[in-house]
Formats: sequence, C-alpha cells, structure tokens
Amino acid sequence: MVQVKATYPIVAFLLLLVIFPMSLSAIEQNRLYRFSADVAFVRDPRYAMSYQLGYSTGIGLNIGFSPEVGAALEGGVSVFDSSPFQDGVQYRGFTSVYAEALFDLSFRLGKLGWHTRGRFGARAGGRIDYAQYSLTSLYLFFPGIVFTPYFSIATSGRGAVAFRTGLPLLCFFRHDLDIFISTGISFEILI
Amino acid sequence: MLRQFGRLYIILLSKILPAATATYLLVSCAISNPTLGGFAIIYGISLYDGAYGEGIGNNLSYSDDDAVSVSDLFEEQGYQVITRINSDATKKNLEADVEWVAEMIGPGEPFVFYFSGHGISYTFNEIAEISKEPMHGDTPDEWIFLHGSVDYDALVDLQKGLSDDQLGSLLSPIDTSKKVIFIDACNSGGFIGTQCEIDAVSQAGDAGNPLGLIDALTTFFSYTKQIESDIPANQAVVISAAGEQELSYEAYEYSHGVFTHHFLSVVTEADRDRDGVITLTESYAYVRTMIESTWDYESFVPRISGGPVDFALFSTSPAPFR
Repeated sequence: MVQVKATYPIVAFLLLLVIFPMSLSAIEQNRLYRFSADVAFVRDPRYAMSYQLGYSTGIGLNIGFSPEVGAALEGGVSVFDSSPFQDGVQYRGFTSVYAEALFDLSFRLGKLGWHTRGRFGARAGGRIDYAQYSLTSLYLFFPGIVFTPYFSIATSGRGAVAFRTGLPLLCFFRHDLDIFISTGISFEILI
Repeated sequence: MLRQFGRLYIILLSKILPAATATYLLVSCAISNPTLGGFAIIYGISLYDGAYGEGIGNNLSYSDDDAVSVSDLFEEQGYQVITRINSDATKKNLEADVEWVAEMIGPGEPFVFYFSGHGISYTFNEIAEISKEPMHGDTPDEWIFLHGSVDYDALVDLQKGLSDDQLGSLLSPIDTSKKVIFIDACNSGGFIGTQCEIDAVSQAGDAGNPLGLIDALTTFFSYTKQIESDIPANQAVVISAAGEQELSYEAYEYSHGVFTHHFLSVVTEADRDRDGVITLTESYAYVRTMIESTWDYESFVPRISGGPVDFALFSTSPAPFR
C-alpha cells in the first residue's frame, strides 16, 4: 500500500522537472532563498506517536507563468533532531538532502503601502529526500508531498524583492513509519 | 474575501500555531522520562573444548570475561541478568532462558541478548559439506557457535550452533517492542536484516559507498515488510562487532574482545547529548569511533540495524529506576 502512495510524489516531481525547462521563457524568474523551522509528528505502529524538531534551508528558482500561476524548483538540506524519550524510546534524528518541484498559485491582496503589494497563495508538489540517520552510516531514500500556503509582500518596480512567510505541510511516505507529517513556519526571499 | 483569508492566515501563523506547538512540547517533555532496566541474557564462551586452556586450539581467551563484565554492567543498570559462560552456554540452556524471560517480561520492557564467542559466515555449499542442516534465508548464512558446536580441531556441529535466522526465531517468543542483540563475534554484521536503509560502510574497511543513492532507491522500491532472512530491525536492533565479511578480535592489552572493551565504557563516555541517557545509537557510535581511532590491526567496523527508533539502554546516574 505504501509503495502505491509513494509513487505519486515521485511522478509529480518528475513531471514538474520535465515541465520546468519549457517554462524558462516565462514572464518572471526569481531566485529563491528559504529557511523553515519545523516540527514533525511521527509514529511507528509499535510505539507511541512523538515529535521531532527540525529546520531546513534551501535555494531554488521561482518562475511565474502569469501573475497568478508559477512553479518552483528547490533543493536544500533538512535536519530533524531525535524525538524526546517516551517510555525509553525515541525516534532517530536524521539529516537529509532534498529536492522539491512545486506548482504555485497566488492571488493579489491589494496594495498594502507605498510600493508594496501583498499576495496570498499556495505551493504544492513533490519532494524526494536522501537521508542519513544521526551517528550512523545508514542512508535511506523516501519521497514526500508538500503543501505550503503563504503570504507574501513584494516591493514593486526595478529590483523588486518579495518576502514570503508560509505554513509548510510536509508528508513523507516512509516504509518504516505510519506517519511522518511535518509543519512549521517558513521564510523566503525572492530576488 | 481574500483579505479575510489573509487575516485568518496571519492569526493562524502568529498565534495558534506557536501556542499549539508549545503546549504539545510541554506535555511531551513531561512524559518523556525513560524507564531503564529490563531483562538480559548474557552468553560468553572461551573454552569451546574444556580439555585445553584458553587461547589454545579453537579456544578463545576473553569471551567468558566479556560476558562476566557485560553482565555486571547490566546488573548495575537495574537489569535482571542471566549469565552463562563456557560449558554452561549451550543452545539448550539458551532455549530454556529465553522461555523463562518470555514468561516474565512485559510488552514494553527492554530485552538484551549479548553473545561473545566464535562466529562464522557460510555459503550454502559450505553448509552442505559440513552439515545436514537445511539451508536458511540468504547466502552466506552467519552463525554463532554456542558450546559444543565446535571443538579443538574446529570440527563443527551446527545443530548446537545458531544461524542468524535461527537466533531471530529463537528470540521471537520474547514479546517486547524493545529487543536488542549484541554480538561480539566474527561476521556478526550478517545477523542484521536490511529493509529500508543501506549501510555506507563496506566490508573490511574498504572505501565504502558513502553516496549510495542508487542503492537507497533500489532498497526503497524493493521493500518488503517481512524479510525472510537475518534479523530485521522491526524484530530486534542488532549491534555487531564486525561486518558480515569481517573478523572481530580479542586484545591481550584489553583482556577483552576489542568491541566489548569499548562497550564497557559507554556509561561514562558515550552520552553525546549529555541528557543522562545512553541510547543504543550513542553506544554504537562511541564503540565504532574508539575502534576506528585506536585499533590498527586488521580493520573491522561495528554495525547497527536501521529502523526509525532508538532505545534508552543505560543511565549515567548511579541509581537507575525500573
């Protein structure tokens, strides 16, 4: 069952990778710098659910097909600490290298101030992680899906910069876990 | 409408999310004290052939001492320990000990099996030559030699030994979610069953495969929940002294097996995060680091099972509670 679900984000990811080069003639391209602080809720069916605190940082390319529709490719590093102990058990921490491919849909909120515009939107797509468990040489691969509603403020005119804050929701499809759902807060700068 | 969504989103971001997270963290921290102690079966065999002394013929020198010292360590940590050495460390006694623990142990209590002695890796052809034992799981098959399974001349009676699959089956009546196996023996890495991960350390200190992404992808897509060989992580976490194709060693200067010598120091040395609890992975990391940095004879590297969880093994405080 997990294997069937797990193919969806990989297919989405590959599809976006194919579409992405075709979009390079898009109307707008921005470099994207991202940081997020995350908390993941994890459960192995044999043990109680717990949480792991983490953070991730990444860089990417954001492309706008129109003012409302865009896409992004992003890569970076995610770190999740071990969970606290519950009845002598903790979930292992890990560090992963990840790649994301995302669709972006946003709506203009209006002019917030002098030369400043707000947008409300969401990004969604697929993600793949190549992770290493802390203190070991054990590596594993797993895919995931990402959904990030966000609010952005952009300056207008030449040299415009957009600042985004988002609420990323991330679901990993791991064979060894029933649940790995992460949420948090993300900050992005688009230049 | 969109403005209202925007305001709602900002409220969610600035107030509800931090409050919910903080509450969850506080509640979780309050219930997170690890309970230590449990049951341990400790076996060590130096004298495979009692007619000869330690270190002579196929006899080892320090495996019985390993077992006694490891037994003391677990007893100090509040475990109920069954220790058997040399002629007492037989397959028959192990079956009886497992049966007793299976009756006594609670579902959440830790169980530890420790073995120090001879181990070996056999291909199916090699097994067919020396035994009428049926073939098990994968090839090569790894075995530990309990007392009576090998003599002075290294003649082997596999009926009295245990293969990786057989050890997993033997321990399966012990119904706990915290089962740990330590094996200080040659080829002991072959007891580890792999399901989701790849180990980037290759055999006998080769360069290894530190970026084995293709292997990791293959492992992901070929995953099966029930593997038919070795001991998978969802059955027990195995920490082995050496890799599947590596030998492990005793050392005169330590008066112990090299792996066990360093393992005996984990309570005082391995607490990396200074939280007062030594986990399996911290123990593994400490022993591995010490062997890699101090052992300059034939290369061998301890191994550990994968799986998403780690267990509290020891406490650094002198009076752990059960």
